[in-house]
Amino acid sequence: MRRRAGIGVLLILMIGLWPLGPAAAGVLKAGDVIRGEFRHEKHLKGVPKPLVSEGRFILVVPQGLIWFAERPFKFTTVIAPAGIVQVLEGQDPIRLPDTVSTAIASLRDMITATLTGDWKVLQATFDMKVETTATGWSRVFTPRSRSVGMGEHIAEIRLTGADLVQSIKITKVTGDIERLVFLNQNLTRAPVSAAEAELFRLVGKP
Amino acid sequence: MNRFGVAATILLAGLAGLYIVYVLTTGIPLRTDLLAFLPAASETDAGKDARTKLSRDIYTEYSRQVVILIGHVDARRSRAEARRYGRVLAESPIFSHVDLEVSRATPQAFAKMFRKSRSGLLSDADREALRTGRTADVVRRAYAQVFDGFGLIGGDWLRHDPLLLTTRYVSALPGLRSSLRIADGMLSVTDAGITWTLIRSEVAGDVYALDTQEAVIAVLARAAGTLSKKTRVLRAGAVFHAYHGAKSGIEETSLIAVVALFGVIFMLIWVFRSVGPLLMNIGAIVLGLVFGTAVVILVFGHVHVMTLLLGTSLVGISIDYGIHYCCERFESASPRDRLARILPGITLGFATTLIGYFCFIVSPLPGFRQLAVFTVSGLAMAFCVVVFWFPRGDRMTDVVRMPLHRETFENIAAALANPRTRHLLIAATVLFSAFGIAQVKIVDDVRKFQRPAAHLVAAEREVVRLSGAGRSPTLLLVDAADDQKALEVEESLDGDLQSLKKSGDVSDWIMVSDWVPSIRRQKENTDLVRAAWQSRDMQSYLQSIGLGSEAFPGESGFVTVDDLAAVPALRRLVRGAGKHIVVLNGAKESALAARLARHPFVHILNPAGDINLLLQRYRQRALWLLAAAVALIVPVLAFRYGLASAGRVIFPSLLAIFASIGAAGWFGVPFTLFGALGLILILSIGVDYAIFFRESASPHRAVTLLAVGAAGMTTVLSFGLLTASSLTAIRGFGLTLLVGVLVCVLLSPGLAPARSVEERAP
Repeated sequence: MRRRAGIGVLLILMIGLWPLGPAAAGVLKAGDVIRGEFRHEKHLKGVPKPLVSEGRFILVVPQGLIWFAERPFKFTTVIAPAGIVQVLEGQDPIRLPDTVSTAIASLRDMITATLTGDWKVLQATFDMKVETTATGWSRVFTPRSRSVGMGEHIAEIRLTGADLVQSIKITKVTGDIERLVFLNQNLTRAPVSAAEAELFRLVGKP
Repeated sequence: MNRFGVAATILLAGLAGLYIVYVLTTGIPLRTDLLAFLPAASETDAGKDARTKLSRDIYTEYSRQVVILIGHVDARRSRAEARRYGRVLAESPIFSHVDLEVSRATPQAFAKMFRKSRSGLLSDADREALRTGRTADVVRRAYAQVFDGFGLIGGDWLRHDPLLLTTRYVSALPGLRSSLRIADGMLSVTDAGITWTLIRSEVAGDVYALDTQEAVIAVLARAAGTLSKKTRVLRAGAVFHAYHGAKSGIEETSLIAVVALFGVIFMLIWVFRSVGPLLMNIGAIVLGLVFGTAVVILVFGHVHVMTLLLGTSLVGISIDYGIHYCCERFESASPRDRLARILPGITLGFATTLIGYFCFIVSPLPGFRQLAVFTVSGLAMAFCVVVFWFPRGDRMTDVVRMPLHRETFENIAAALANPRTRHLLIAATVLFSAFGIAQVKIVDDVRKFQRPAAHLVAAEREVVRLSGAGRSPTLLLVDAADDQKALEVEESLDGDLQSLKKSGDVSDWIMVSDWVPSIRRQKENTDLVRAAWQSRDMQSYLQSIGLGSEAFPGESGFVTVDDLAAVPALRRLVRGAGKHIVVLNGAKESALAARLARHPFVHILNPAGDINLLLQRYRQRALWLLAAAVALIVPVLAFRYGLASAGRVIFPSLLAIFASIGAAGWFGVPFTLFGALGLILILSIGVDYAIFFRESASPHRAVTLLAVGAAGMTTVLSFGLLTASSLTAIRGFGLTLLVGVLVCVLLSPGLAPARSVEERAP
């Protein structure tokens, strides 16, 4: 379904493009960990007010990404090469199946590739324009084809950053806009907590 | 009459020859599928008709599929090579379609279909939560989806389905287990450093027709020629098994025919010490085979490889008439006398054989019909050649010396006719039969008839392991009054399938109702959502997403089976109003059957099982037809010999039949339908032998023994060679004939005493 393509783009951007920041020297190494906070706004056509969600995240190379949404509702999403699992309070973890739409599965493969520094995966679909700003850089991705893959759904992806990615804005062909802002990011090599490791274990091995 | 016979035989043989030449130039319509040899479904029991036919249709559809994996260490190269390979297939008309790229139409068709519903499609988890009043759980799931950092729920979708029920329903749909991923629009899987790219294709014609098989193999070879040396190809599909079976069948048939022919040539030269009888007999055999094949193709439009294989037995029988004629050279000086001496015997023999096969020609079993038409027409031609051509072509006008001393044959004939020897032989045969029959194993399992080639099975397993494609699933038929009833039956079946999955008795399944719930279920779901709509949790959720406090908007529409028209893969599961297929993978049939006992509208479709039942029915009917043939032959014999003598003429054949079944027990060869077919031949051959002895006056028995012995040897040579076949069933057939003919040769001289000279006088 259409939603799946959106998941893909956002994930790839968040995981794959972090290392584009100059300080990160191009590629994150195994064991690198980024912790930070996020604010996610959705401006949906026909929905009167923007939808907002806030929380924190942790990106661990190469295990994957954990997304802890805290406001207005608590839930956790774990993305790893072996799959995507969502944990809601008081409910059994839900594994997003890759059987219905193989898009999810291909997305996971792309994530795996980007986690290991294979940028070609994203650049296969999008043209990239880089600009240097006073505080850092901005990158604009536009789909090469409007009729293939994510190009069918995404009109433009705009990123800003300095050492690390600071914001992502995705404009869909329908006119809906997603905006993600990353705050208080911290690149370390400190090991993940037992609880975080447990979350990765939920997804399992690929 | 004689001239007319000669002219008619020449005309018919000439026409058959020309027709066969024409057929050879246009491609032999050879069928290789064992199913083609068995009856059409509509000719079996009425009660199971529809299901058996459906089972066959689906079996045919599956048999057309060819799954190919193109493997290369470089993923991109794997896809590029697969594209090249697939293009060759797509350009060939022998493939009706080739799926190389993943269709983009299917997801769009799904989106359109599911968009029809707002609250009628619920995942099990949502349905359970709403049913037990846990609305908060449903709301939290919706929140997580709307606000998660990864989902890009569109405004239009959220307005349509604020709780995102349909989205979760789709996410929870059971699919088939597969490790395939989409890359560059193609499905591929990486295993042990090799990326395999999947090509699915469907053969346009009948995969059991030899010309189709050859065309498929040729196209695949051409496609493989476009690949680099480091590229590997794995293939799975029924067409490969069918081709292998056909090829080995043809090779075997050719080999057996050639070896039998050489054996026969050697024997004829030894017996007659002259090339004339050899040429005459070869002429009779060849014309018999050509005529039989021509008639079968004319009548049936095709000839089955099994008919050809079993039809080689014709070589053994049709030569009998010629041998009997030629053996008269040891007795009579003129060709006319030779024919006159043997004519009553071979005519009666031919008549009894005709009667024996007549039961098969009128039987509702097409495989038997074809075999019988082949044999009867071939024999008729050989008979006519002997009767009309032999005396004209016979240049020998002297009595010829026998190959051994005449006394030798007279002594053997006398020894076999001796009451003590006779009783001893009968007792030994009865004991042999009784002990053998006690141990005989009856087998109707089709899988044991055609042993699949190990290298094909290994490739198939690898394809399944890598891609999950090309599996042989278990199929269920839901047979209800209409589609809605069928969907309800499936919904009631779901619980049982879930339990079977838990116990490991089934791995996964595809069921129409998973994609299209019954309208009753969709209405129930809508009622559940309506009841929860005004709850506090629901209202606060709606407020938070800015959609305000609204009354339940109601269902927007129902998804029905008709919506599947745009999704061929699922539409294929609907086989008519109320007839739905459920595809199960990894099912253990015993556990499944136990569970299904409580679902009267659900039936296991088991093509192999159905075929086994057919084989069993064929085997039983073959035995009944044998009894019918005996019942028809006895009056004919009684008319000529009287009832008591008729009994003695047919007795060796009956004993031989029991001894043949016993031989299967002694040698541990399963008794199959083909063994039963062999018994019919034994009856024809045995009665012939006994008639020849019965028609032969005492001083003449040495020649008759030589003729029957030589005829028996040719038959044994042909059938003895069938015991070398790689097909278990054919091996059994060969053994049955080998033992049966030996018993007939040994018992006939003693049990079918010659008519007295007075009796023979006109």
